[in-house]
Amino acid sequence: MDIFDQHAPMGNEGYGSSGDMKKTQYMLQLLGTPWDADTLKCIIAAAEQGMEVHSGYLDVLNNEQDLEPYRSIFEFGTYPGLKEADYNLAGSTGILAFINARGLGFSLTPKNVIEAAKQDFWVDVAVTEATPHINILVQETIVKPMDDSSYSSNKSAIDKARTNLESVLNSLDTQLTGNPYIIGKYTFADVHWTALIHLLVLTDSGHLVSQRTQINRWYSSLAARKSNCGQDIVSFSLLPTMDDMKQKKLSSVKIDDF
Amino acid sequence: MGLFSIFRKKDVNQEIELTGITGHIATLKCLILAGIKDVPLRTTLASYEVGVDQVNSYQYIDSSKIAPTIKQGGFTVSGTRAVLTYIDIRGKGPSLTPRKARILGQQNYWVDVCIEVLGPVTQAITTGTATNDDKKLLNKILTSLNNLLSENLYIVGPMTFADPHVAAYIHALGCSGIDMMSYPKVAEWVKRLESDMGGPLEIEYFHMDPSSHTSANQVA
Repeated sequence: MDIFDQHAPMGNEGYGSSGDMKKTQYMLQLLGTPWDADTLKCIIAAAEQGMEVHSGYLDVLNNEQDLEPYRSIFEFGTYPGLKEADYNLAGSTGILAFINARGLGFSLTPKNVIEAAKQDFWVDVAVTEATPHINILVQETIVKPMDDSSYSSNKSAIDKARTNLESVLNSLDTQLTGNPYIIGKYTFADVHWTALIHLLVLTDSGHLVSQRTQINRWYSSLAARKSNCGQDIVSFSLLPTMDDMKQKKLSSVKIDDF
Repeated sequence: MGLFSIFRKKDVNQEIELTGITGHIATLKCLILAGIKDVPLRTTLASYEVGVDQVNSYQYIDSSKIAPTIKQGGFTVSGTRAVLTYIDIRGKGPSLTPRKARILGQQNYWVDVCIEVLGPVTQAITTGTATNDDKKLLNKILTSLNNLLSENLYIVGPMTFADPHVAAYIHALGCSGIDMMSYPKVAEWVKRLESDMGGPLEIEYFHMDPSSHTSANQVA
């Protein structure tokens, strides 16, 4: 039994469990944390593409990613981690592409080179300009207080992170003007930004979203958006609440209408 | 930010311009892929003096200028991911994106390792601030690559995006005095890539010398 089977056991139900499934119907096991944007992106993508995923908590608060059970599979300790039968993969860039290729829906990466480049640009902006500041907010308002109940959040760091996000959020708001999704159609750019904006809202920074009408409209629309693959599932509904964070609980992706 | 404009069909025949920074690994990834895909680029490299970020996928040259940025006719896009996507499709031969999901996943695993692990270590090495732990980690990464390349011609088997990503760091590390002969399979793979590119990567002014200056340069 490896660390995936310990933290994200598969059980005996669901499609693929009998072993007579198609290649696209292997069930996946995911290890990550509810406050990690990369983990949330993987859950969103799995739901969008109709891939059943059993999720488990990787105890990064106690550096489980650096211990032998995890490092024996992923030598550099990068996470989230994914397992499909005899195949293991770490890091959201790989996992998202793998789920997209394996999944049931249309590709989340546009075929048109101009659209694909636009998508990639907005993914880069999310990773480069928004993630570092949102990580500070997550650490200061969620992770550190959870790890140490006597911890007093660094208000100066929080204010600075929120200020630093203003410019990039303004750009995103402008980009969404006239577009239902970030580049027009739903792509990986939306997957990346959904995870980030969700964490932003959970870190008492919801005003940064509600102040921007286009981001607010886009984010609200995701709550009712049916999956890309046509399965009866809303990826947004699988994102963790603050209670989930405190309980270190991640949603699994269950497909009922196969 | 948001450096897009309307793309017209006639633009596809126009010269592709790349704006980058001397000694910038994100820029180097674009140049290597252009070499592999035989895409002629008119390249303008800003001075090293702006300070080079070897960790992120792009950086600002000034308040409105991003490197790397590519421009063809009326179309402009910035950031390594987008520029690589554009060069790959505009270049010769099939896309470097693998069709098989597991190989695609492995390709991106190494892209992630480059960004999350190799990038910070390379930044430390190239700026002379590397600790013993950084050097140990670098040895671990290069040993892992050496083992992979003893089984594969390229990082994950076929040539993929993982190759220009990793090659850019290897080139930068070589410029900083890291001896790749200790990792013979990596050294052989570099020669293989150079052969695929039609020759060694010779980019004028692309060395790690802080006295470098702004220039225009033709690649491929």
